[in-house]
Amino acid sequence: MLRSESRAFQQTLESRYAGFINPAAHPHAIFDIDLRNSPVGSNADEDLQVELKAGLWSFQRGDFVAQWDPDTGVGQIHQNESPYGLDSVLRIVHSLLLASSGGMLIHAASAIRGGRAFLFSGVSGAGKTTISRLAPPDVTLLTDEISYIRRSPDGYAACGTPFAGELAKAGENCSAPLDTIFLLEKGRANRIEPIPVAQAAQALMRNILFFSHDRGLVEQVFESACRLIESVSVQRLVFFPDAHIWEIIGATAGATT
Amino acid sequence: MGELDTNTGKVKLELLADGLRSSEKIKIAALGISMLPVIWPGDLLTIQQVPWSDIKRDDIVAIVRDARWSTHRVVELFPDHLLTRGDAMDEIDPSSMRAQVLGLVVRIERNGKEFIPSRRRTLGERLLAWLLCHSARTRSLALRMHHAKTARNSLEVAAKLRPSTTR
Repeated sequence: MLRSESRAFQQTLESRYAGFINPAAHPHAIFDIDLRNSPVGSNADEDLQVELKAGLWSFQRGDFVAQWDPDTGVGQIHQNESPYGLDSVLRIVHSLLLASSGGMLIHAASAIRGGRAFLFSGVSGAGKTTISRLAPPDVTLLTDEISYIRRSPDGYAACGTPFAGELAKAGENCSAPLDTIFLLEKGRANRIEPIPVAQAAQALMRNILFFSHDRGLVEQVFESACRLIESVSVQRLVFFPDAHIWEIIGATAGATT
Repeated sequence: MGELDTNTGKVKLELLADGLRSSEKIKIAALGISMLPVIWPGDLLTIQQVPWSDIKRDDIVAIVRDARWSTHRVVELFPDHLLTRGDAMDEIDPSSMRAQVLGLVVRIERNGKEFIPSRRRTLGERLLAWLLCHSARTRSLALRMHHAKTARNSLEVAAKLRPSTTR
């Protein structure tokens, strides 16, 4: 739940997160947003600081300062009128919430096809947005930038997020069981290749979004990443940027480990 | 001996083996009590890949078996396999083939100090190992004392360090 005294900012948020607003849902976090006492400067490129002190989380960057109590779920954000700082706070909070339950945020595009979710992981420029743009009509895009992986007793599910990359379009607010994680690599032909377990683990861990340096939590995220790789098929996807790539991805639907 | 969660053991072992292949040395934390009093839970072990011919009797080696790794002492060496036993254990382990031997324990770090494990064990160490193996009460007391000492050392180190901000 996000609260602001500024009606204009509230409307900006309602438009930005339109598909993900559910007034009936129980919020995991409640933030009061203060636009009047924003930090001096608006440098979003400054290093992010995430600390836990006396049971309270503090998040700080050039364009925002925030505090959050994980026990009550209540927090405050002091920022300017740009929504990008809020995006970052939400990502940080969700990465912490997911860490406690075995899930995680991954720098990846994800989409649903045939009732199964596919993840396309890679750093900037690897082709996440390209894969998303090339998706045929029967594919539901969850995100082209930040994938939300939730763990349940039944396995893993990929969920849509409002966090958009170059596609500049929020994902759909839905989820599906995670079928395959593809590690993206651009090439001259389309093919899916097996990848050694250690390489898969290293590549995936490089793309996990986690902002705290708390040792216990980092170990927990490491355990979660290992468990995910044990449970879900991880393969290398070499692709030439045209729509034929989705013919191959469609062919692997249902091929879980 | 180190034990891995069976759900994540394969991934961690692959990472461990890959780390050794790419860097020849890797550090891992000891978890078990089978090598008391030489290796204690929490000790940081440096494992180094070495040629098979460099492994000698009484060396401490890291072995992987059934998604578990352990660091035990070599008791018998053969051209294609070896036998090991934990210092604080009575029974010899099942034989380990070459592919199961990750490397040699070349350094042990504990409470800010480092030392190189020796092939030789003093009579006192052997007696203490026997006692720790056969007396649960002695073992429990020793582990509690070790834990208290480690905790005290951690507090002393933390007090000397400046609080740092994460970036």
